[in-house]
Amino acid sequence: MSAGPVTLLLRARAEGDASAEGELIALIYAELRRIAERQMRGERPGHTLTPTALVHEAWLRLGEDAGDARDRIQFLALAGHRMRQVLVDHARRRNAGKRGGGNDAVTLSGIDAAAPEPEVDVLALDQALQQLEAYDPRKASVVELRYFAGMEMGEIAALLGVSRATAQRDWEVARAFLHAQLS
Amino acid sequence: MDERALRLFELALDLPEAQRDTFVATAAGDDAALREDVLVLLRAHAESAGLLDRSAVPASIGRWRVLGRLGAGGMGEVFLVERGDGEYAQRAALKLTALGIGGAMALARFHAERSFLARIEHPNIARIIDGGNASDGRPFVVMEYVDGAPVDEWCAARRLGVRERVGLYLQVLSAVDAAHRALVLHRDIKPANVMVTSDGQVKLLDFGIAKNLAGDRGLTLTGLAPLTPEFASPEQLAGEALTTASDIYSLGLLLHLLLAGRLPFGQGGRTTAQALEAMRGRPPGRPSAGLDAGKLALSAREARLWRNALAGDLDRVLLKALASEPRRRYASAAEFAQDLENWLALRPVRARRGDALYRARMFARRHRLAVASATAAMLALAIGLGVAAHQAWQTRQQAARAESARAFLIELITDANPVASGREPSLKEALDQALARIPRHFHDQPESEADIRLGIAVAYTNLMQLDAAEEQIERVLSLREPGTTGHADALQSRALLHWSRGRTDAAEADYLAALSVFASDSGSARKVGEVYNDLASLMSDVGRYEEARRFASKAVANARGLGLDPGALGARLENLGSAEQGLGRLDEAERAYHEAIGLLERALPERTVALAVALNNFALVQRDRGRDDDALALFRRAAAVRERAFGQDHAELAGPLINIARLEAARGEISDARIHADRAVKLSEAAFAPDYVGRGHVHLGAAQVALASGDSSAAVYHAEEALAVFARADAADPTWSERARGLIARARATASIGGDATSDAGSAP
Repeated sequence: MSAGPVTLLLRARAEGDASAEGELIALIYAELRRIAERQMRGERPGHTLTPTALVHEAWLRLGEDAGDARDRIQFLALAGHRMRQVLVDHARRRNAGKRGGGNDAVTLSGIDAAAPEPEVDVLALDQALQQLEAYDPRKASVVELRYFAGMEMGEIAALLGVSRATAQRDWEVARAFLHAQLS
Repeated sequence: MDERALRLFELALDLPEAQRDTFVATAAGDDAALREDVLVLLRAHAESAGLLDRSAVPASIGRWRVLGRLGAGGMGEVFLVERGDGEYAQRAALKLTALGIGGAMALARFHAERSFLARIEHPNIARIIDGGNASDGRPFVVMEYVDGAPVDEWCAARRLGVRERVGLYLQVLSAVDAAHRALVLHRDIKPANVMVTSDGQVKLLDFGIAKNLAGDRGLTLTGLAPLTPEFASPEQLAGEALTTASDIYSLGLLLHLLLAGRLPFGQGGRTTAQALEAMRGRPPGRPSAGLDAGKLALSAREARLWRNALAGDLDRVLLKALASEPRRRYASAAEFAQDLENWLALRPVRARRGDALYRARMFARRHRLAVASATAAMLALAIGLGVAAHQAWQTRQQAARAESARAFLIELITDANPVASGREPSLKEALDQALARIPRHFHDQPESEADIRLGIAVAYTNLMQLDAAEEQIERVLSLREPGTTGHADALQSRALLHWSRGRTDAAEADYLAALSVFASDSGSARKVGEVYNDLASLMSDVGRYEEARRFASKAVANARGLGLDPGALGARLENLGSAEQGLGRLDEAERAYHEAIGLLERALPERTVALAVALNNFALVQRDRGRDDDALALFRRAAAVRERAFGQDHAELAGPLINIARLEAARGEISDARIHADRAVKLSEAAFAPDYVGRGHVHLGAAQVALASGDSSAAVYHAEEALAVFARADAADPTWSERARGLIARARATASIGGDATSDAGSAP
């Protein structure tokens, strides 16, 4: 199996090559931004970004479709973290551009069971997540992996070295916390 | 809210709901703020079920209440929904785009489907009801909910037979045809996308990767790997530009699955590369040969019948749809459907028809015209001119016309005398000469000129000199007044010409035009019956047996009413028998043939050909009923009639002789069988062109007879000769060659077991 650049960097990093990590993050971040910007340009104002889709697309665009499953999980974890950064940057820039003007903040939302369906303000979510990180970093990671990287709960549990039930519990607690903070 | 609130909340979650409040009150003690924070979190927990969660089933989307998830795939999720406001009573399926890989592409495809479905309405395509964007901006489309099963499961659950499956498939083709006419390719035709409701209605689903042929901007999906490699066409797998022919191929694969129980190149979760490798450079085998009886849950006996139903025309239809070159497939889903309808109606399928030449040969074979020698052909001309003379004779005031026509005929025959010219002239030459003389004989008699030209045209038609015949008929039509019976005569002749060329629609139109003239002329009652008879024969030829029977019945009634001679009545009864035979009504066919044969025997020698045809067809009826003895006796009578008419050495005898030989071999009358087979082979080799399929059939029969007699080397020889003929013929049916190869294999197997068993039977006379 031929390894792509991301896979090679992931493996170098796993073997303790510190420079690989920086290179990897730069690569992923650049790609995510390209995709996100292209989408933002092409979309109607206020149109929702789908972070999971962007992350997966980045993986494909970096030519890593044939990679090892463990490499993919490592990538998703990194990309999920970076994705959050990309979206926050976007929201900041857009808000700066709209200063004194419109009110179309970049929003992210799931489809909620409840009506009216809540929309998530990216910047507010980021702040709440920072608070959660301070209290319980693992729960914040679960949110990053689940929401920004679109990973399955089983993958998240394996990556974090906890049971699936624990990961699920973390996710529920984090979600309740964020919901309480955002509403 | 601080970390302590989070910890207490997490602990409370581990308790049953009823105990949580008490626990929180105890644990928080007198810290009212802490207690409030924990209770807020517990409430938030109950409310946040779907937050940030893309895998949750939403309670509602747009104005639609979600009842459950029907499925999820790469392109999106499908929910069962109903309208919350009661505006739309029925349940519906709501399709929401996926968030997974390739969001942008998914969106483009989704919009394509929505815009396509919005502009098409077809009973076999699931209707679009609503569309919009979910709160997160993801587009959704609401479609008619199809409560049914995938077509393959549906057929299996009801144990449908071949005809029922083909009938059901017409609905699929109708839907795809409608899509194609709306300039949309489906591109993902597979069982899961072809659903059948409990009342048997097909619904084509999922235009998710449909492509607009009109070229919507921003949707250039050429080269996109298909979602379902095992149902994709070679060009689709290769990532090439797609046309409607790609859908035709997928339709062929699906029908193959339904009829043979399996896909032609195997099945299973293959990758694109594997699927492409599997079909590259390899045409599929005959579906009937690759039947998966287990999958179709057929007993050995049922499997045999099933295979027989597929073998031949359905094999051909499938192989045409599955041609690796797109341009060799059916040009449209409608054409594909037409051929299946042909099959259902027992008509010849288009996939079998080659070019006009092949059809002309079929015609010549059917009509058993004695065209092999100039002598016999001269007879044909004499009949043609005789008819013209006879017609003229009927009207006394035109006696002069008849007289001059007859004189012309006599001169023609005298000049064609072999002794005078030193060799037997071809009829073609005789006719060409006759044409040259027309101006001299008939320069001021346009009526007679028309009579003669019509007679010559009929003779040319019989000789398959169709261009020459057409030229003469057109001149006759210009010489005669439209609406007159003379003009109608020429139309009737032109109908035969069209028919010879395979233009059966034009033939039908001419016959009907002639019929309307004759029907309004009180003196043409006999002609009316003749045209009915011609139409009956034409309808049988194109497989419209019901109409054939109607016309033949009228023709028979006409002959009885007018008290026509036994020969005329017998010939019409023979056509009635053919129509009944085509409808599978063997009792009625037998009755008609029986009466026809009795009448035609009284009308010899004029009705020789008709009698031979009636005997032959009657023999086929008896063979179909398993009455081999009766069939053999009838084939023998047919052969005897032909022998009397054409002499012992006539090629027309080859067919009956080989049929006799086959039946004799089956009864164990091996020595008679071999004598008859050898005669048939000699006659066909002497008279038939090396690429005439009839010659191949004679060899095939001879191979069967040789195999039955244990002479495997003769069997191999004849089967190889048959193969060579079929290879040369331009429109040979591939199943014939298959049969020849099967015989070779069996003969070789016999030889390797039986050793010297062949030696004494090998010395054929």
